[in-house]
Amino acid sequence: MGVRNDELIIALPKGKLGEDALDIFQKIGLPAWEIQEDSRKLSYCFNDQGIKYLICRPTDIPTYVEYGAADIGIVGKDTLEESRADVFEICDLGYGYCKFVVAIPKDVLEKIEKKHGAFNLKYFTNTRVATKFPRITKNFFNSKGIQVEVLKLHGNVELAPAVGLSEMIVDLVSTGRTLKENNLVAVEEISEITARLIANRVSYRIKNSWIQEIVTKCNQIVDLRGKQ
Amino acid sequence: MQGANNKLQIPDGFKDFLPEEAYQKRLLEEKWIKLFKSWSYKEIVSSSFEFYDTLTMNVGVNTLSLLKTIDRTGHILALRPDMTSPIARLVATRMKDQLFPQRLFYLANVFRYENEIQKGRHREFFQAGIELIGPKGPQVDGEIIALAVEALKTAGLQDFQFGLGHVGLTKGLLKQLGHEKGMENEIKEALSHKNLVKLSSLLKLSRQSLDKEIFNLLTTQGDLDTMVQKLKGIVQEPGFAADVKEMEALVRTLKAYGVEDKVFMDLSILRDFNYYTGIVFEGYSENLGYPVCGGGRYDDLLGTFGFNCPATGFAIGIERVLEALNKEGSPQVFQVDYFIYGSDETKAIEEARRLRQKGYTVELAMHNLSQGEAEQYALKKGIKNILLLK
Repeated sequence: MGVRNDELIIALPKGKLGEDALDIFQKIGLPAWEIQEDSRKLSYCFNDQGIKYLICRPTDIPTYVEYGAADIGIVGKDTLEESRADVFEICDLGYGYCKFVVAIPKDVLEKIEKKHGAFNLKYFTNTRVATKFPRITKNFFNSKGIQVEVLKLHGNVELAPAVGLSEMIVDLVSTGRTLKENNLVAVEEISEITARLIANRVSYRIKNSWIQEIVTKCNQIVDLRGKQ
Repeated sequence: MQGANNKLQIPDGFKDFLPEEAYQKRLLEEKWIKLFKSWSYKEIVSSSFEFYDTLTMNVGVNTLSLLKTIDRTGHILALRPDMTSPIARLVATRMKDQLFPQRLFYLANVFRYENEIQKGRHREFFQAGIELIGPKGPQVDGEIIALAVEALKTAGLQDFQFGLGHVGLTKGLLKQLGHEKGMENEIKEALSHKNLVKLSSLLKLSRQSLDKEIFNLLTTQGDLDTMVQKLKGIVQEPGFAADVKEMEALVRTLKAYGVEDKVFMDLSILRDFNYYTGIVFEGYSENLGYPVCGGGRYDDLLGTFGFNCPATGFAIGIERVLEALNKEGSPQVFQVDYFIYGSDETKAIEEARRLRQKGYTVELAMHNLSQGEAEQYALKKGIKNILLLK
């Protein structure tokens, strides 16, 4: 877990999030060739450039960075917030856009609208919410002053309302197709999510110029994309 | 809670030190005691328990993190979460009439109830630190920082750096940027966690180039001279001009101590901003993902205990320094110099006494060992010298 001055260790998430990050890294001149995230190889070294990549499960990235096993990492804002890791959030990479929403079965919404005219989250006091993100869910309902029971599930959250496990779900939505297929509708938006560049607190200070240069270049790429 | 077969375990968040670990810890402590004494600091020891009401007078304390108990008269007691509050209480109540400045040091265990036992934090951990109570100004701040640098050097850490901030300057710059009322805490939170994404959206930076310059100054670090020059060019708030002057003087002091290479400036270091009033600093080892040392100026704390008096200090996390040292290289181990065996007890004890007086570590055999047995034992234990007395 050394924080060495001559080597920058980057934690890269498996999957789409990591591939898009490599895309940006390539554009800003970091070595990114020959990296195949679906292979079994777990780390890649580019000794000439002093760069090392660790291929990690997305939800583990905050832990690697928080402890300094990696200096910087790429992580979705959702994972970052749920982990509550003590790391520096230094750049919004702009891609990987999706939303956190509260969703309920379509027929339930229709009934409510018939009865009350419009939907209000208050009708769901003391009900159950199924989610993969209990912390974010709890915070959201607390901020609205609504008491709910939060059920932590590890996947297929959409199933919960259909079988009576919960009245609502909180989940990430990008196109909304999965919700639709399960007869669910989003009734409340919690927050917008994009990929973030995070840094270890000590690495950021000890390798400041290196990391700062990456941040500046990433910001330029993101700004360019925004203008397109 | 855990099951019945955990009777032989200790509670989560606590730890034992086996002899080798305790030896490492004590070595460090001895080095620091010697150092602090040579800078004219006197040791102070305080009660492990304080009244809950006393500890919560300090605005910087997280009341949820206190380990509490109720005594038989119904008072709530809490284990000290750091040494700063107990020392402030002690000085404000029992040392008011003494000659100031008071230079105090401590080596103590402190207790915090951390929900997640991670990040190198435990519910009980050890700190070495100092408090300089009395005067204020760049000379005092300089002494504290220089001593902190010296302490990590003395510990044997090779690669470390200190980040220096100033709560007053940071507040001044934020004020100059302007922001919505009521957002101060959120902005400071975002700044101290380097949440640059949130920070820039909170500040709603105008397109003026000066605003951008201030934002950059707040969020990037630099060497002392460069940062002071930049500050001089940017700070306009009249109330904060004095802080800039003070910072300039502090840099001169740090140069006089010859520690300027070990210190960079970073105005996003705020630590606990409810509590610190002037400089704040953190020490980082290149071998550890979290800071090993933290400190700063807290001029209002003693006032809350009824004795208006400026103060400044730092604390080093002993376990963290040990972890960093272990990563840097092979730690010094406990070494026995002589092993004495043989049939003549009187001679053996006499020889042991003679060697011990010379400062050697000597172990006496408790049984009549053969030469082979004695050699084997000494070899296993790494004792180089064997004496036979018969």
